[in-house]
Order: sequence, then C-alpha cells, then structure tokens
Amino acid sequence: MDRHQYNQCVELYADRLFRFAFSSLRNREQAEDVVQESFARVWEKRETVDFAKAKSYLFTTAHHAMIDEVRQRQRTSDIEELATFADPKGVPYPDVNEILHKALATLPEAQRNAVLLRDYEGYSYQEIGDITGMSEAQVKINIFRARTALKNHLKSIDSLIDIAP
Amino acid sequence: MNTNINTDNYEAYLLDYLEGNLSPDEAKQLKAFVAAQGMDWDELTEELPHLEAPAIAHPDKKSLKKKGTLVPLYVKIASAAAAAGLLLTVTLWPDKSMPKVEPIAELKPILPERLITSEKIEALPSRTIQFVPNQTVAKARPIVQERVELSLLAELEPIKAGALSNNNEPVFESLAYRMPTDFTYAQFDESRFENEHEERNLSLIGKGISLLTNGRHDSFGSLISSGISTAKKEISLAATDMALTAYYRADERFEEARERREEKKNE
Repeated sequence: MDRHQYNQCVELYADRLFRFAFSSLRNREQAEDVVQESFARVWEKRETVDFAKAKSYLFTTAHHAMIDEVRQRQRTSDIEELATFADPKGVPYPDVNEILHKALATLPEAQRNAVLLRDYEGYSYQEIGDITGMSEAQVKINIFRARTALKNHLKSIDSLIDIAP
Repeated sequence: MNTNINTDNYEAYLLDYLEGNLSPDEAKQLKAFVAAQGMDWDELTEELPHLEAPAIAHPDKKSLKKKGTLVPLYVKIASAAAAAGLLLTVTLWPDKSMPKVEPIAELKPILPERLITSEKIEALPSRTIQFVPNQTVAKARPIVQERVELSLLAELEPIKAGALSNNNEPVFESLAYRMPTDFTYAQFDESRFENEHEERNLSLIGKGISLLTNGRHDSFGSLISSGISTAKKEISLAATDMALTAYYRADERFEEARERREEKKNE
C-alpha cells in the first residue's frame, strides 16, 4: 500500500473506526487514541498490508487496542459511569437509538463490539470472528445475547413509562 | 438432519432463525430443543433491536494523513508548460533546435549530456550519492549553472545504469526505498518546495532517476516525452528535478546551502 492508498484509507475508514471505538469506549480521547494507533500500525505495515484488506486490518487492530484500553482503565467500576456518560457535542443519538447506545455500555465487551461491527459496518459473522478472534458461533451467540439484553432494556424503559402517572 | 443443538450453541441457532437462515427442518429441531429446555419460544423469537450508526465523525482526519510533496501550483504549471514547450520543439524541429546529444561510448545507457529542467536549484547536493549499497556515483566537477527561473541548464554525467538495474528495466521502486534517509538535505529552495521529502518524495525521486538512467531513454526527446507522460501520473517534472538534486549532491555548494539554511533556522 502506498501513501496515496493509505490516505484513501484514512478518508474511507477514519470516521467508521472512530464511531466504532467511541461507541464501544464512550470516551472521545480514548477513541481518538485507538484510531490513531490503528492507522499508525497500518502505516508501519504498509508494505505488507494490502489496500483491499486495510479495513479489516484497521478494525482488528482497533479491536485489540480497545481491549487494551478497557483493561487499562479497569472498567468494572466505571460501567455505571459509562452508562450515564453524557454524549459529547456533535454526537447525536436520536430517540430509541440513543437509549440503545447508552445501554451498550452495560454489555460485556465481546457482545458490544460484535454487535457494533455487525450493525455499523455490516460485517458478516465470519468476518467479525476474524477481527475479534472468536468462532462464528461465538459471534452469533454474543450478538444474540447483546440484542436480547438491549431488547430487555427497552422493555424495562417501556415499563417505567407505563407505570409513570 | 441432526443440527446438534445444545445449551452451548442454541442462541446461535436462534439468531439464524430470526434472520431466516434456518431450514424448516432445523427450525423444527430448534423449537423442539427450546421446548425441551422449558424456555419460552415466543419470547426468545421476538424481534430484536438493531443499532443505527450515529453520525459521528473523526474530529481531525487530516492529522492521520501522511503528507506528500507540496509543489506550488505555479511550479507545476510552469513545469508542465516548459515540458510541453520542449516536447513541441522536439516534435517540430527534432534535429535543429534541441541540444545535441553526444553519444558516450562504452557506457550504456546513454544519457543526455545536458538536460533542461523546470526549476531553479538553489540547494545543491553533497559530494556523493549512494543509490544502492557499495555503489557510489561521484561527481567530478561543478555541474550546475543557474539560469533564469524555469530553466536550469545542467550537465549530466552518465550513470552506469547497470549498477542500478540488471536488465535495463526501471528500478525506481527499489531504488526509491534505498535512497539514503538524509536525502532531506537534497531539496530545493525551501520557500518553493515546502516538502519534508518523505517516502512519496523518495518514490518520485526514484522515478525521476529511472527516467534519467533507464536505457530506453536514449534521446533527449524521448526523455522529455517520458517526463510528460510521467507528469500525467502526478510524478511530474519535479521528480526529475529532485533526481537531479540528488544527483548533484556532489557539489560543495550544497553544503553551503545547507549551512545557510541552518543559519536561517537559528536566526
């Protein structure tokens, strides 16, 4: 991959990668770090990374970087905080989608990332498996559990609305 | 058909079911499994939510990009104009108006002795330039005469292209990456070429050098012609200029220019 192709990758995938990282980490600076690290890695490996496979390489690298980020910050104690993390300026989540994205923070990391890769990027289960290092069946299980948890979260909010006077 | 549904994988099957990817037989087996486990089929197969990607953009995409050569537009235009003019000259008056190209015996490929390039070179190269390990091209005498803007009449010494290529094929790719990293010194007037000579420049330089050293460019006309076609691919005549600059590192004035630049920086 040459410089032109690398810059094309930035143009094509930087927003998507940032969206993926931000939606998972819920922290703008960390998401930026993840994106920067991912592109830096691609640039380092540009002689061996084919342009056609750059997207997959970027998301795989980002996924690993996100795992490191999460481990570093010991996020077990942060989940509550993340769930109520205020959206930064210019990041609109409309209605149900907003609720779902906030609920995402309460999901286990594997579920969260799998469903993000599926819904945001339209990756196949096999591709998600390649990126995350899971089997296709594990990916499906994680996505099913993630969606079920989100569904239950929506239901619980509906219940609260119904109960409210 | 035995789908081997069990407590470890039934959720994967449920997802497939919800997405319409199970055969009727598999769906039947899944339903039987769920019932056997005492789970609620209707609840498990309710429609599940999907996320809609929010409109989030990276706040500073530009910072992720790698810079290439910054060649001012007027230089590009001037280069193209100069090249086009030269080509026209070559085409219309091939024998009369072009500098005479003297064949250089025993050295292949033959390079033009004199080459008009499109930019004035102010920073001159150092004494030697190593194209590949253990192969040094040395300049024996001052080689650059500055002319008015847009034209530099330079003398070239032949390079043994065999040192660069075994089969007269262009070698610019490998050459480009073998260029010494201190090539950053071999640059044009900073005010005109605000580049940092990163890899893209090296690639351009390599291509420029290949134009000069490739055995197929045995006449001035074909060299210019190649320069133009190369320019169309964004390599531009600036690449040739850069190649010349690299080639001219032999001149002491390069060191002087570098010192002047350092002094300017320190002021």
